[in-house]
Amino acid sequence: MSMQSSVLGEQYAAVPEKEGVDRVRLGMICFIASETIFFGMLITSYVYFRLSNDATPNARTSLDVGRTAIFTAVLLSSSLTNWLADRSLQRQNQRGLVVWLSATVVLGAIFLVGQAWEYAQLLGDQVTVSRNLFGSTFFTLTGFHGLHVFVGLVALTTVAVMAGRGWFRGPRSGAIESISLYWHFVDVVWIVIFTLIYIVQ
Amino acid sequence: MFNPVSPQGKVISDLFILILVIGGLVFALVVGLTFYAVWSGRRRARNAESGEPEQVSGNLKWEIAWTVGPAVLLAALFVPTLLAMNASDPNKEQNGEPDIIVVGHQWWWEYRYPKANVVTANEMHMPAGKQVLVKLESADVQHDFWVPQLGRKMDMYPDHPNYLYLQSDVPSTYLGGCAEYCGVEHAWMLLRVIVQPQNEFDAWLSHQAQPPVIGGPVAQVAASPVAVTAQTGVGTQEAAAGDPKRGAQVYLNNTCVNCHAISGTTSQAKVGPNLTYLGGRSVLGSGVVENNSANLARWILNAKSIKPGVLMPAYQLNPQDLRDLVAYLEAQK
Amino acid sequence: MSDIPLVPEAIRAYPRLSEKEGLLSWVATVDHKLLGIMYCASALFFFVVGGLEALAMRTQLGTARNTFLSPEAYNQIFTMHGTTMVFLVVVPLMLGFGVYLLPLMIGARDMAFPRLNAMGFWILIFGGILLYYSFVAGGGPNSGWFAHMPLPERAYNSGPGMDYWALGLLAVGIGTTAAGINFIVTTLTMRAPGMKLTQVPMFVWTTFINGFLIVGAIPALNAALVMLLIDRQLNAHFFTPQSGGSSVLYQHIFWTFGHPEVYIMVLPAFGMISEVLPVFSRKPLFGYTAVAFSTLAIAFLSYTTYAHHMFAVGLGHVFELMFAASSELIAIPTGIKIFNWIFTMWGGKLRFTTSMLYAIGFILLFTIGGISGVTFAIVPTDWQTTDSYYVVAHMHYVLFGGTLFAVLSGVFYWFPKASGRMIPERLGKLHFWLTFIGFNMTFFIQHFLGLMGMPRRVFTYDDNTNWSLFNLISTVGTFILGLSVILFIYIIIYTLLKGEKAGDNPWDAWTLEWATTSPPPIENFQQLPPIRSRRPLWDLAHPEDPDWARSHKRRQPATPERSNDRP
Repeated sequence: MSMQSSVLGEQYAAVPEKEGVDRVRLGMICFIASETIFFGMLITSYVYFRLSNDATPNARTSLDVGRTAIFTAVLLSSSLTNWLADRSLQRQNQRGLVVWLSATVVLGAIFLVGQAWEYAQLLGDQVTVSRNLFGSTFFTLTGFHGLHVFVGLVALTTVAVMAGRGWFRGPRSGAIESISLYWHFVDVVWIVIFTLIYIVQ
Repeated sequence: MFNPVSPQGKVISDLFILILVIGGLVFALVVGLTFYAVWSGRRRARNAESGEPEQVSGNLKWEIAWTVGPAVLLAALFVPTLLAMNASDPNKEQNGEPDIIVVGHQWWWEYRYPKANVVTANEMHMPAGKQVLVKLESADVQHDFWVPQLGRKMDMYPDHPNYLYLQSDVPSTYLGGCAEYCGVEHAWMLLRVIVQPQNEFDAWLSHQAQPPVIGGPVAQVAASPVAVTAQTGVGTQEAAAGDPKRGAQVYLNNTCVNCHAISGTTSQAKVGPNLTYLGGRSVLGSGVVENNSANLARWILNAKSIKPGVLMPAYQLNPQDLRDLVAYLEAQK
Repeated sequence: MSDIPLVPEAIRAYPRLSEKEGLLSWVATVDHKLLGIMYCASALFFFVVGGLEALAMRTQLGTARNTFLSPEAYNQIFTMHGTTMVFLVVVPLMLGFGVYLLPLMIGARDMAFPRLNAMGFWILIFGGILLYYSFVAGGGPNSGWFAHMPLPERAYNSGPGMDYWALGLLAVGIGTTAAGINFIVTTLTMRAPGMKLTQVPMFVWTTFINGFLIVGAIPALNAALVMLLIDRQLNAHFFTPQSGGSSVLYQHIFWTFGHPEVYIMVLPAFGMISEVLPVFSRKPLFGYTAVAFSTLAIAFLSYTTYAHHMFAVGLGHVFELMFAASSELIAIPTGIKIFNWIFTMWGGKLRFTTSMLYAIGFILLFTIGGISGVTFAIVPTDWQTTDSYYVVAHMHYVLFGGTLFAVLSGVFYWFPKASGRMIPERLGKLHFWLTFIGFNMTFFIQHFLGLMGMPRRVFTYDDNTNWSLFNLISTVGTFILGLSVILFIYIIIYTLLKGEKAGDNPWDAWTLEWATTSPPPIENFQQLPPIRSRRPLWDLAHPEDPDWARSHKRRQPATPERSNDRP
């Protein structure tokens, strides 16, 4: 048994690193595909009810587009810092990796704070999930997006801490590359949501 | 198939038989080929000397054949499909006033005849030989209107009215039922469509439009006394007659009026079935039991003992009140 | 075999427990073989549960106006029968066979993500437990397996059943998606050196495509379930028409999942048949490319046909015709497969093992299911037959006569590999005939009940002409099926205890899973044969006539008739 495991150990070392990374990235792409369908259905519901129902309160009467635009910019800039983190990894710049990952976490957290602020104000105005269809669809869609941002933050924080301890030497890492993919996906979803809910009212 | 009595139903039935024949031929082909392959394969395995059979891994010509063949067949089926769709479910004037509005409730049917201002429940009357425009709605969950002999089924939604042309050329009573699962008593949400010659239907409709007159027919009720047996839990008194006039008061003084309506009275609620001329209907509880005095008494005392999920509560009535109430309801024919 | 060169196999040193640690080694394992067996074993458990529910239902329906079950009980039981059979039996069976066989068939050590694999399985089991916990918590789900709105909403359904239903299915859906992702990545990245994607066994192809179906379809169900839960728990209005919601929107979302789901439940079964028939006909699969591409076509079309479940909704003729056309199209790739299977047998030397009998039974019964399915693609006949017992008969022909027969064929074929022991053929054949007779007796007659106007999901019926008689026959058939299930369990236990040793390759088959021991060691392969064609073990056994040489030379293509010599 001990001899066998030493043989296995050698073979493990022989697995090309690139293959392992690509495998994890592929898994994340599949996961993102399934998430796309999930958000697609929620977005479809929002649009369907938006078109069939014009009761107030709705997006026009209760949302602060300007403020959300600022937080949107924050979230989008977190995609940029995330990309910079990726680049640091490729260049094997461990310090840069930690810094940019942390920046991404901070920006994502600011976005969530903005969302919480918005929610608090809506709830204060009696716009709730149970108020009407706008409330139901709005909170469901943005709530699930917020949940995904939160999950992304947990993952990013984890890898940021790990990076600080020198886990990722680069130039490639399945964990960091797939979390980046996920984070960009969450941002893209937000662009769609922001466009549909806030801009095209 | 389906024993159609309407042009709409006939079209579907013919199409079904066409599909059945084509499908049967295809199935026969598959079975034939399979059995030949099995039979010859068994023989070959037994007779032939050792060694593997020829390793054939495909044949482009044959594969194209069994791709194109079914494609042509299905394309050909598309034409009768299109024709049958238009014939069995003709285009409707969506905003035209329907002859009958059918509303599905958990678990009974409401029928409104808007042109005659008549509302009734659980038994639908319509004239023979005439296309009737029916509007389908639901008061609660999803239901489905399906009388197989009359043609297609159609779902009923609270938020999505549907229209249907119904027609029957043969006066008779046609049975159907709710075809979309709608809760506890889905099974006992049966349809009963009574197709009458035009003059009979007209007479029925104008009769329904008049509020029932109670009082005169007491003798008639006495002649068919309410048999309240031990089974109903009321007592063992023999065939005592009820007084419909007093029954009307029993009806109006109880909570019956919170759910039901009888035309010509102050009782006009729309939660439960409209009870006007209940005595003229042949079944109770949307088809669960025959409409007679004993069953009606049982129903009033404890409807759930007949139809377990029904929404009507049980009533505590003294035997005299019950007899009078039953007499009142049954007197309206 | 010992002189085969060792092909270096990428093996990762996963944390694992040795086989000696008993039960814990099953709970904590990330080994695809143990997980595959657990998927199948739990599916068998839930199959017995769902089967008992079916027995209760058929007992109730055996005579008119029967009172064996209350309507409330009946409605919960039929809902859970459908939910169990779809989500906890057939789909897990497809996943279980995939998880067990995929790495073995492509010469890999394990799935691409072994931990994800274990997580998916346990979440699925957790979902199953949640679904059944509802009965303890105050009433089972009672709105049917597709739960058309607004019946499951709180206004009409105050018990906790539908909450457990939605939560349980969410868990099951997440577990299933995890397996689907694993199938895709494993097939794409874990194939043994030299094995091209066009050379993988057909079961790998169908499971691979199944992965895409799962990833594309299950999230739609999850979205619908989430909205239902928010409606019920937070008083939202998605599917409550009384406050502006839509009952039809749910159907669009649900059936966007629901029709691909049908193929999730049947494509890997096609794959199993495509493995079994060639081996017992001693010929390669007829038209590998056609079978593979028709699978792809079915998967693609399945997303465009969902609305044929909604022809009675009243969505307008144009809409209905579009979906009728795409639904008819899907019959073409299905037909291709049937003929390819028949011509795989054609000209072969057939061995009638139990597995082969089930495969042949599958072809016949699935054809019936396919033909009765055309009735639902043709809009006007759908208007009559949908929601009647005709559709009940149809879907059982597809899922039981189709998928489960294929699964049983697969069980009798691969059981020796997984257990190392042979199932006694006599018992197996008895089981086949019992199942075949019981199945047809139960379900064929339901076609007629549907045509006579019996709606589905009724807990009882009035004593109309012949309804009682036909229902009684169907009920008797169900009890025969019950016997066959008992026999099956006996066969499994008997084989595990007393079955003959199987050896590496008892059927003289050609794909890689037979190139290792039975059961395979924890790392699957010590060595792999060279892979130069779809049938590496054939090439090994027939160096004078290897597949890879044949595909290059393309000897004169014998037509099916010519290859079959008449005496």
